[in-house]
Amino acid sequence: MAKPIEKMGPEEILTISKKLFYGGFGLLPFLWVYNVLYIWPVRNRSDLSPQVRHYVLMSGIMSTLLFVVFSVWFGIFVNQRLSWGATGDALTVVLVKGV
Amino acid sequence: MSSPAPRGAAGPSGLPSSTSSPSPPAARDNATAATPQRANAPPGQTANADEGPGQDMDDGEDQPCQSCGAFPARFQCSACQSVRYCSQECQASDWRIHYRECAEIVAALKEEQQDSEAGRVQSGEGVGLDRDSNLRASPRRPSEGSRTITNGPLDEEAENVRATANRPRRRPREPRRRPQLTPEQRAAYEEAERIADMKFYMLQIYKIIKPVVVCIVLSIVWVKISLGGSDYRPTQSSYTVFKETPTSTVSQNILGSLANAGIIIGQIVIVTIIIVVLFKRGHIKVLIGFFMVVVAMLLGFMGYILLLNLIQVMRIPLDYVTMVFALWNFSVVGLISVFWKGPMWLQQVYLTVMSSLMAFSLTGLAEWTTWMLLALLVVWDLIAVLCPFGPLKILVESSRNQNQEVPALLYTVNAVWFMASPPNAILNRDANAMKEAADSEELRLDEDIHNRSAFNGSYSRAIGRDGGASISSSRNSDLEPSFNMADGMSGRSSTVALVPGPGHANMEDRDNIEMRERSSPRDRHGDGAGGRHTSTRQGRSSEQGRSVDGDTQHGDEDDEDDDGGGLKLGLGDFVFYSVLIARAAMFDWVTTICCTVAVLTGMNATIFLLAIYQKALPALPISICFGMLFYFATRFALVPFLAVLGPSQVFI
Amino acid sequence: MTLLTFFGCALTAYGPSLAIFFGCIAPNAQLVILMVSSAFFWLLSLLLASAIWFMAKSSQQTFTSTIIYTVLLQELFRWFLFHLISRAEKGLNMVAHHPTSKFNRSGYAFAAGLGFGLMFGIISFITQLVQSLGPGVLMCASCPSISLYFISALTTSLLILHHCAWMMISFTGFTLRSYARILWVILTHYGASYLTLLNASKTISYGCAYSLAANAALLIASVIIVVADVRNLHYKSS
Repeated sequence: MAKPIEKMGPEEILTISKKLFYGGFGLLPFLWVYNVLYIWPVRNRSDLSPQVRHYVLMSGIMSTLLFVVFSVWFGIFVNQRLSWGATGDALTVVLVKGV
Repeated sequence: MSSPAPRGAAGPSGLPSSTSSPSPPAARDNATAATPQRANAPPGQTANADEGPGQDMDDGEDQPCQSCGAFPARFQCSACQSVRYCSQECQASDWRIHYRECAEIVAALKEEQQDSEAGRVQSGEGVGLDRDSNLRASPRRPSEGSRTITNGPLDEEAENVRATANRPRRRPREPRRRPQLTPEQRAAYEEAERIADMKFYMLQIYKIIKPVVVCIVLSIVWVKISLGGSDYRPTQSSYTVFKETPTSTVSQNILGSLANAGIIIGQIVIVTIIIVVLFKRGHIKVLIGFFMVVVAMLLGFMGYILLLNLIQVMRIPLDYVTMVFALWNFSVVGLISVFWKGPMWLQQVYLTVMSSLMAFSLTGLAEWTTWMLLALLVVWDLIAVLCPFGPLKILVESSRNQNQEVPALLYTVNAVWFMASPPNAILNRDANAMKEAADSEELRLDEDIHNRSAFNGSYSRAIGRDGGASISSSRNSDLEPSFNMADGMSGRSSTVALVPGPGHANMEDRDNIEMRERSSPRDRHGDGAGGRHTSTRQGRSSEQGRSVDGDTQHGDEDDEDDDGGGLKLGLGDFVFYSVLIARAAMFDWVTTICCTVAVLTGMNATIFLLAIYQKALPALPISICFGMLFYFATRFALVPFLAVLGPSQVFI
Repeated sequence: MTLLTFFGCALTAYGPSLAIFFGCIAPNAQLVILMVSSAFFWLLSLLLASAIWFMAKSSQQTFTSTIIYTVLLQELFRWFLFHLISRAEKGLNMVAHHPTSKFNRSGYAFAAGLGFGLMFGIISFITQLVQSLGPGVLMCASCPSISLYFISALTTSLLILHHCAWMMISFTGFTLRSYARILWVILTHYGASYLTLLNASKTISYGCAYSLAANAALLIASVIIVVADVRNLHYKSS
């Protein structure tokens, strides 16, 4: 297990946030959330390079965006799934049984 | 253990401290200043209670080194005067654990000794406190002098090492007058130590209860949800030869489930042996890769199964795109947080969830098989703990010989420097007995330095850390989720090991509660070669120097220390407690609650026994036995009893 | 309606005790451990009682006899628990926030009582509570207008608090060798248990109301004793 972020040097934090930010582009918005959560406790450290803030901010924005996209998609799916017929059924993981 | 290597050659007299008065590791304060763990103590207090320079103690024979357990421990923490160390390194390494307790002991002592001759004896301490603050202000103060007690060539060597490794800050300072301890004060110190000891165990139990309860509750929830009419429950895996049917007789059930459980245990043993072989050959990367695959499978595949259950029972319309996306994120983030870096709490959450998933997958086993498996595991764990040639023991030994940590999945309680204190009370109580034990241990060390394994029921305290600085439980986490609804769990070992910091990971003992020294990395490093010893010390001292400078680059040592300080519980414990309770949850709520209480009590009892006997005890057996006993008693007597009382609304 | 019943009953039964737990016990490591151990003790007593019940086939339906040995066993285990705690008291005191406080024992007694009470509450009510999630509803036999679940929830809640009070009174009793207090605890325990027989009574109408009212009265009396004891302790210590 890694040491707590409070004890890391600014360079290490920068590397982490950079890696997490770029990793997030592999369809991994959780990684962006993770980035924000991870860096959050040290966000006000004075020795932190401004780039870290930048990465964290971008992570937050990107993850929010992706989550909005997915919730919109999910909303569309839930509402329109019946009208899509067979396609909708094929997309559904478990067909909801009647009571 | 700080000085195994020197002692091995120097004979049972051990390594006397070569310099007096370790300088106060005030740096620790700076280093830890940013950590949340310190929230409990006001900063000022901690600063005040900074450990003063150690004092030379000629009568340090009856108390081992707080950090490594070596005799004689001639240095004393000057602030609280209740703990002793064999060397300043030990004091330094112990400080992050000791500082909190130190503050409290000082406070307690001040209370108790107001009207006694505290003034005279404590004057040194008061000065020490002041000096500490001075020292922090000007850490580079030149040394005032040094005194060397040289008892052998190895000590000289150690002294040389120290001389080369020392930064100015760590130069020994002028030895101070050793305090005249009256019997009353002695008693007070012992009392304070006992208090710290008790507090330590209390807090460890307290800290360990929460995640275990969460894991158990999660498993119960999964089971209850999946029982709510799901088609996707985990099923018996294909490699169990015997399928329980309602019509099979008791003897058939017993024999068949014995066969099934035997097969699973056999897999566990085989995987353990494979891991031992891989480890001995030094294929650490392979092992880590294996664990990563296991974790990925567990999170991805079992997460998938669980999700199927959830969405069916909850009637959630979910599309494949979202599900794959969510699972992908969930597993990858889990992998990263467990194997790379991540906030502690996220790791804890993931490990807990993983354990509950594993337990959930094991609910696919048939009932008799589950009980047989648990019973066999208890037996096997006992054997593994007691048998001198068990594969796990070999694993531990080789991990020490190779200075390698066995990769393992550990639950780390976020209590890195939390109130850890050594259970010195027992030592004080019968110091002679312990000394004998220590001597015998030393002899044993001399005979076979590699055989030094903390969990064969010997006084691990004497050989190992006496601090119980951390409860750590490592686990041979070779979970092997089988791919057909996964009931394959192979070779997981669960441990509540009182393993000191860095040493935690080289413990792959199953179901052991054990105590080892906090400084066992040094133990490892120092095992064979003096050179290694040197480097470690250098690393340590340089680390300290850097801390003083406010430099945030910490050595690897520091890293290790940080990890190990907290309480660590093997996922195996989580998994098997949860398996038992999940199985109980499949029967009835009353059995569930009873088993939960029984398991928790068993766990508490195990840790208390550890505190009392200070020797290696297997962790799983007590809890599992309690749980099984309560399950059957509840199932066959209590549930019918309550079924009669309940509807009549009779409350007893 | 089922979810409403469920949450209403759950919060009625366990709300007060859980509030006490999270407010007073949970932040305190040694009290939590004490509570778990006392819950374990209570469970042991009940398992023994159920074993006796299991063997006494002929009297399985006569609650009057069942209550006799069940309550007796509980009091016996309370006594065991007292001995255990007084042996461990030195250690517990050392760990306490105020190691020399005279009220430590009262605190331990309270935590142990809550352990007894919560375990009692969970064991005796959880089955009904889960049933209340189901579609049907059962009515209380003596008060047909109220659901059985709610009456049980109220009784459970009262008895959990009762257990706290009993434990504190009996600890004082054991400490001071005051047989009046011990007798009071045993009598009120029997009284409370026998009063719950009224719940299912078909001959006495509003039996559940009597039972609840009498139980509440007993609880108030016990609490008065507890408060008096603690005040005594306070004056003695100051």
